[in-house]
Amino acid sequence: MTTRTHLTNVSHTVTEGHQVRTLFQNVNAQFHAGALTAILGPSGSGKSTILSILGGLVAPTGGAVFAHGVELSLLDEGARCRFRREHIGFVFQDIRLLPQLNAFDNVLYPAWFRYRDLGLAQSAATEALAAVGMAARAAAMPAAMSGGEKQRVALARVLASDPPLILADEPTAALDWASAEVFLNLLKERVKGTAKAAVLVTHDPRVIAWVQHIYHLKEGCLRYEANT
Amino acid sequence: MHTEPRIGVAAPTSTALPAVGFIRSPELALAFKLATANRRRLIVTLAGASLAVSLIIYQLFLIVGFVNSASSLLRSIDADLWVIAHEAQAFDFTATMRRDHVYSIAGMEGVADTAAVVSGFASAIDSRGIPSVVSIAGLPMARFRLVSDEPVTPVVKHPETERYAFIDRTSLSKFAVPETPFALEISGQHVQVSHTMEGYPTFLGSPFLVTSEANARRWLRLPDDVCTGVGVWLKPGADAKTTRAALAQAYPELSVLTTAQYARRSAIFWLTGTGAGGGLLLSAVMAFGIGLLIISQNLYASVLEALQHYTTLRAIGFEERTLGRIVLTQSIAIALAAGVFGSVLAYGYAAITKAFVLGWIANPWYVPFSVLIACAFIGVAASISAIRLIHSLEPAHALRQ
Repeated sequence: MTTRTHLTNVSHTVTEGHQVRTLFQNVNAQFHAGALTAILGPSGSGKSTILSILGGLVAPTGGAVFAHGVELSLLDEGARCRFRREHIGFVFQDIRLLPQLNAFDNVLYPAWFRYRDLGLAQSAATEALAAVGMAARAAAMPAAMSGGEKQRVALARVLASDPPLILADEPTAALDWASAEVFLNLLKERVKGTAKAAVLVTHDPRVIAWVQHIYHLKEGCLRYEANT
Repeated sequence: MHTEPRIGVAAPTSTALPAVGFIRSPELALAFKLATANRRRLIVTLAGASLAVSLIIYQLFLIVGFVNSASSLLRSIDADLWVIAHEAQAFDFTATMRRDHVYSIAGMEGVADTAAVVSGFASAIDSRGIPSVVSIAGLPMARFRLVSDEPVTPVVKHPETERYAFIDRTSLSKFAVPETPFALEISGQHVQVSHTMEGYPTFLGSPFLVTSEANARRWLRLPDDVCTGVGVWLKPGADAKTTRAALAQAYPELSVLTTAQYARRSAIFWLTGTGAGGGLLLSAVMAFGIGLLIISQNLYASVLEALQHYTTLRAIGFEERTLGRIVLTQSIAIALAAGVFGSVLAYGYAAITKAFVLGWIANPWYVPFSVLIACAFIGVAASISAIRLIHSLEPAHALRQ
């Protein structure tokens, strides 16, 4: 398995008022293709910040970040944005579908921006919605969907753009466990045996059953644990 | 209960997609989708902006009518040049000069003909005994044209000697008469207002009475040796610029203007030198500002409302300039739609106004056309604060910190 996505001696500090707080220091991690990796840790430990750094949303204060083989610090803001569009798929804790658009359009538009080809984007959106079992609900507006349905549409939004790196921030936190299981099964199935890598940030230990690699973030240190 | 995913089942396309199918750019399509998603907000924004735009156009219709009306008599004579006193501000708000210049000017090189005009305000009393002010214009009637380019001669057999006066049809109501002839007492003299004309409505509430120079002089009680201007007609082939320069040199105590220059001087005087014109101009500027504010405020509020969605779009790879283009497209589209609806409204107001209140209001096509172009600029200006807001977004906020 290749590890084109990794953190090398990454540190990050944040300024809170007049105080500077170190979230983590010199952390190293590898995220394997074809596998799900979980980052576990207590609230406020900096798990989401690691995800933001991996996704090019935040620049670390030290170290090097490679996402799908690209060192993100070498990219300017515009290039990082394009990189996110083409190589990274985000699944957010609060799902973040556009309420003005129905399920199909929520999946279609990011894919359309990704491919710049309406026909290709329509095919990808149709296929992705079918893959997550939301084909029959394509015309539903987010307000009319359950939390589980919304999260499946959010996953379809990611899948339609076919990114090699999927970053999920507490993807099961807003779901009941049955919906969470459906989501995790879908994610595992879409990543297994492919060149895609998926990183999940979670505080839910039940997620461990679906992942192959685990990192524990505690008191600024990231500790690896193979999930057997 | 949650259904298991049914992989491979073809999803139906969005029911809403055909509506934007003709738009091949994702930016345009998304801008359209987001703008039309909240129909109530869109309708309120469009209604407010359309009303503001209709006021802009209506005020401009008033200004154009005002300006046209201020020079309608002047343009009806169609002289090549006008010689007037320096102090003369407008055709009907003028100053006197020596009348014998009409002969000396006629002798200048390049001049084919000249005619003296007199104009001014006088008080009139109608048959009910109600006093009012009228604007009297004593013109070379052989040159004067009624509506549709009709000459006066068939209507008045001897225009230079008969006692008569033309009044615009829209001014009849001022004297509570349905038609001509009717009598007025002007400067203690009996005046028969004998004929109607069209295209010379007044904006001051003082109706124009058009008659011969001799009649006007009598009614205005002007001495025989003064007039308020001399119209100059050039010989075929004569150069207006050269003749004008020669006249200016020969008569330094007078102003020599082309008809267009004199019309412009009249318009500027009435627009900027009087409360009525200044008020119209100020109203148009204020309506423009109100339109800009309404569109800006609504756009800013809608972006503010959707801030977390724009943050999400930034996080998933929409560039700042892409989101800026989306907001700009929405803003220009709303402003242009407001321009179209506002134009329709303004034509409605103008038609009602013309029929019942102000006969002189104009409604030329170039006013809404120009305002439509201005609307595009309003759209750009209105989007600036919303775009700045988008540029300040931190995409990392899409993730929990």
